[in-house]
Order: sequence, then structure tokens, then C-alpha cells
Amino acid sequence: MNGEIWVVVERKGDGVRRVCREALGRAAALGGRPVAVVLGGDVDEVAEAVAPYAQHVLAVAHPLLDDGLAETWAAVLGELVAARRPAAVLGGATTRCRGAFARLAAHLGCGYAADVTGLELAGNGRLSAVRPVLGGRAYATIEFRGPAPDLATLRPGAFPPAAAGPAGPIEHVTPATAAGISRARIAGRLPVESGPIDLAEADVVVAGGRGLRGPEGFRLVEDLAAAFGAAVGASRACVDAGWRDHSCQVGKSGRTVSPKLYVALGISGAVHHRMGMDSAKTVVAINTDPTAPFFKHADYGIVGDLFEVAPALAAEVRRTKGD
Amino acid sequence: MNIVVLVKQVPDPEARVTVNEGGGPDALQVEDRWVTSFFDEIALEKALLLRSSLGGAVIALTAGGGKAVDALRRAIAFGADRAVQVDDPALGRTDALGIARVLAAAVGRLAPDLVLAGRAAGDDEAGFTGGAVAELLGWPHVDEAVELDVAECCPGLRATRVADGAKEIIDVVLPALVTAQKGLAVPRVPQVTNVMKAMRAKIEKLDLGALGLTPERLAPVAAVTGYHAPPSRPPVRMIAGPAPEAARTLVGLLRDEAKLLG
Ligand SMILES: Cc1cc2nc3c(=O)[nH]c(=O)nc-3n(C[C@H](O)[C@H](O)[C@H](O)COP(=O)(O)OP(=O)(O)OC[C@H]3O[C@@H](n4cnc5c(N)ncnc54)[C@H](O)[C@@H]3O)c2cc1C
Ligand SMILES: Nc1ncnc2c1ncn2[C@@H]1O[C@H](COP(=O)(O)O)[C@@H](O)[C@H]1O
Repeated sequence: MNGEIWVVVERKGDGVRRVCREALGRAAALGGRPVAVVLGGDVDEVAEAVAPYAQHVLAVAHPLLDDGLAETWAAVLGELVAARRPAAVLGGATTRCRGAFARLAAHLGCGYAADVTGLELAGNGRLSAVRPVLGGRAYATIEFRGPAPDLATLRPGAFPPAAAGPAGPIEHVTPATAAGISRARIAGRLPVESGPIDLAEADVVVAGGRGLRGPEGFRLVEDLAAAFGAAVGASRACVDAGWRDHSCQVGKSGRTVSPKLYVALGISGAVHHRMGMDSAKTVVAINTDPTAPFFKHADYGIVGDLFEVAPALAAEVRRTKGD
Repeated sequence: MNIVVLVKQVPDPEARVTVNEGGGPDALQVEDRWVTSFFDEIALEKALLLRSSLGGAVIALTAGGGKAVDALRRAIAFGADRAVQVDDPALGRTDALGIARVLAAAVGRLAPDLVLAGRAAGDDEAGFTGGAVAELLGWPHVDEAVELDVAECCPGLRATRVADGAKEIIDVVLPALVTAQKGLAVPRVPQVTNVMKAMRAKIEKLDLGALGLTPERLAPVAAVTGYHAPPSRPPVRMIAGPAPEAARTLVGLLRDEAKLLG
């Protein structure tokens, strides 16, 4: 692709979210010039952190950008796009970026593909995107028409991350638009229960279902998750029963995950659950019922009591990893 | 407070889905079973709860022909005061941005204080429409709200959502748009008598002309050009034996075959 492919960078702690490196990797693979766009109140640290993965960094600092709200981000991105005309703008398919990209697309009148798992160069030099629809039971190909840039958010885990190279130069930009647009504001932030590892970007997810018999059962899930270094997920049955916070729910009406490994403990594998995890690379199902639907949609299956298998598995994982 | 709820009729999540070889735009075949999109019912329920505490009217709005009207009938069975359908042959040829333009124009005419929509529709699951409609109206918006209440501080609303591994509390000035995540409300099961009444209820109709839009304005910018089936998983490998042995075998396979635990 000729021209610049921008990647909107989200921070994670004092570093860069992995999905942003994945987007930068894809931008480079498509033959464009990967440019990282860092938005925030104080952007220097993140700009430094992302520079090895991009050819150029636009560090856009404004106090109002700190809130990460869609309206502010879209307005500032719209201003930058109009001035610099990139060929495409990518971001992670996160709550934050999806909101900002929806607004940006409407603001610019550009095409936008959300939560893509495939991104290629089409014959006309524009992008073409592949994205799951109907809960992953079909994949649609989207082609971009109308004005550039082509906009897409990438499903975390769907693309390999960029490797570090020589750091690209950092250019500081002061947006004009941000002043005065803030009809929404963050009044507070509180931690959530899904544990120290973010479900959406976890390499390994260990999830529990009604087979755990109660909230105490999640201790087994947590222990196995700790052994793997995994995030904890739950079926809707557990969330509805109040055993676990909604933020842990995987599935159609919960979150979508695409880890390298998904371990399901005592989950039947209903279609609504699978819609949230079908793009996991390797799936392990553990269930007492040999006819559980999950066994038809897993790579490895163990018919057994999770109260025996999960602790044995945790011990074995710890032994193999040598800790 | 007057509230517009965006509702969409979508294939039943349990409807059979097949993708024909060849993969063109007509390759997708979905069994003819329809429901109102999951998160839209949550949005609708929340609108009705806000109406009972704050007064005002709830207006259901959909863009589309055919089965689309069923979402409006369901909204009336839930208790919505009015139902508005935008139907026009041009809707079948546009894309998500075109639909957002249509919905924004209709909302503009209805001039509510608040618009509620689903977090994502059960068919395309784009999570695009809410933010796009808000932008076109020039309103603030909050995605994926799990709580929504009158703000104490200012003439507006306070929404809570989970983003980026944290619960965020966001205050918005009205008019605003909020998309519903699971947890915001639990949809009611409408009474049979209300369902019957809804069958006869008046549906207000609008077309593009009435909204001041032209088909050219709705030319697609992101077009679906084909479908393919999801990648299929190879058949499952069942691992037998007592728990410790099965665990050992599995971990060995994860390490050597799946190249995990590296
Ligand atoms: C519109 C809609 C949206 C939905 N969205 C979601 C969603 O987002 N996420 C979701 O998960 N569900 C969702 N559901 C619900 C879904 O259809 C299932 O009802 C739900 O996933 C079942 O959860 P479960 O597998 O934990 O429970 P169950 O179906 O009760 O399965 C429990 C399993 O545990 C096994 N088991 C019992 N004891 C043990 C033991 N000791 N060891 C090992 N295994 C054991 C049983 O054999 C059984 O297979 C949705 C449904 C609808 C209609
Ligand atoms: N054609 C439509 N008519 C009414 N509301 C819609 C329509 N399309 C999308 N919406 C609303 O926008 C939400 C998100 O849809 P989507 O952007 O397609 O994921 C849905 O849950 C609905 O509330």
C-alpha cells in the first residue's frame, strides 16, 4: 500500500497494548509506512515505548485526550487525517478504539471495518478486510470505497506483533480541535474482577462453567489460571448465578477472546458461549459428560471430573514450566 | 425525558447458518428465524425503567423493511409509546454508514433527550451504529454501559462501563447516546395481551424523502463483497486415563504439538 498506515496507540501501564504492536506489524506487512499515533495528556513515555515498532511516531498531547473518550479522540484524529491524509488508520478492537473509530468514520464519511481478523491489499490498492459475523459462524469480506483513509480495528491476537527495530523519530503535534469538545467526562475509575491479566488480550484463558457448582469452584479456575499465567473467564450460567462478575463472561452476550489456548472447565459448549471464543487457536475441554457439545469444537478433550483434573493439570503445568 | 431506542430485527442466534462454496455476496444463507437483537431489548428495558422514574415517552426506531417491523411490534409489546420505521428501497443497497445517516436523520426529527442502542447488533456485530449516529448528530456518547442514571452533578446522565480492565464512570451532557451492555437491565417477557395489542398498533413510516436524504447520500463506502465459512477445527483428540496421567499427556501435547507453554 502506498502512503502512511496509521495505528492509534493505546497505553497499557507504562507501555503499549499488544494489539497496537499487532496492528503496526500488519501495517508493515501490507507494505505501507507504519506510523504510530499516540494520543493522551502526557504522551512522551508511550511515544518512546512504541517508537521501535514504527517508522514514525506522532505524539499528540492535549489534556482533554487523557480521558480516552471517543468524542475527543475522533475529533483530534479527524483533524490530523484531514491535514496529513494517511491511506489507512488502524487500531485495536477495544472498547475505546471501537467507539472512536465509529465516530471517526461517520465524521470523515470513510469506510470502517470493525474487529477484523484478516487485512489484505485489494487489487485497487485499497484495503480489504475479513471479519466474523453472526457470532463467528461466517466471515465477511469488506471492500473499501469512497474517500480514504480506510479504517479498521483489529481483533486482539489475530495478527503477529511487530518486532522491534530501530526507533522511528517522534514528532510532537498540538491539536487545535480538542479545546471545547468535552460533553462527556470521566468521573471515576474502579478496578474490575477479571484478575490481573486482561481477558481480551490474554495468551491463555481458563474459563469455568456451571460444572464448578458454586463461586468457591472458581478457586480451581484461578489456580489453574495462575499456573498458566492466564486470565479467568466464565460462562453466562456462572455470571447469571452471581458466582462471577459480568466482565468475565465469555460469549455472545459477553466478551470475545482469541487466545492461543482456551481451557474450558465444566462448560457445556453452547453455541452462545463458543461465539466468544471460537477464534482461539487451541481449545481444551474438560467435562464429565462425553456428549458435551464442547468436545465437537475442541482440539483436546478430557472426559473427567474437573475437581480432579484441574488440580492435576495445574501441578503438571507448574512442573513443566519449572516453577 | 424522551428516549428513542434503536431496535433491529436479526437472525435468531440459533438459526442455521450455511456458507455456500464460491463465496460471493449471496453465499450466506441463514435460516428464516428472527429475534430482536439481544442488546436492543436490554436498551429498550432500560428506556422503560427511565420512563417510569423520570416520565416522558419511549419511541422505538428501526431502519429496514421486511422483518424489521417485528422489532417495533416487540417494542410496543414491551410498553413503548410510539414506533417509527424508516423503509425505503435504497436501504437495501447501502451500508452501515448509510443506515447510521438514516437513523441520525430520523432521530433529528424526533428530537429526544436520549438515544439508547445495543452495544452491537446480533448479525454484523460491528458495534458501529451507536457511535456513528452520535457523531452525525454532534452528540456525546458512551459505549457498553452497564449502569445508567441521572447524574447528580449536572443536567445529564452518569453511565458506568468496563473498558481497558477498569470500571469507568462517565458523565454526559444531554442530549446523548448510550449503548447497552449486558447488565444494564433485564428485559421483561411481554404479556400475551400486550403482544396481541402490538400486532394492531400503529407504525409510523418514514422514507428517505421525508428525511431529506437521497440514495446518492447513502452510497456504500464499506461493502460486503463475499462470505466464507469459518476455519474448521481438526477433529478432537480425546485423552483418556486417570486425572494425573491425563494431565501429563495433555501438557505434553500442549508443549510438543501445539507449541504452547514455550
Ligand atoms: C441470546 C443468548 C446469549 C447468550 N450468551 C451467552 C454468553 O455470552 N456466554 C455464555 O457462556 N452463554 C451464553 N448464553 C447461554 C448459553 O446458551 C448456555 O446456557 C451457557 O453457556 C451454559 O453455561 P454452562 O456451560 O456453564 O452450563 P451448563 O450448560 O449447565 O453446563 C455445565 C457443564 O458442566 C459439566 N459438568 C458438571 N459437573 C462437572 C464436573 N464435576 N466436572 C466437569 N464437568 C462437569 C456438565 O456435564 C455440563 O456440560 C446465551 C444464551 C442466549 C439465549
Ligand atoms: N437498521 C437498524 N435499525 C435500527 N437500529 C439499528 C439498525 N442497525 C443497527 N442499529 C442499532 O445499532 C446497534 C449496533 O449495531 P451494529 O453497529 O450493527 O453492531 C444495534 O444494536 C441497534 O441498536
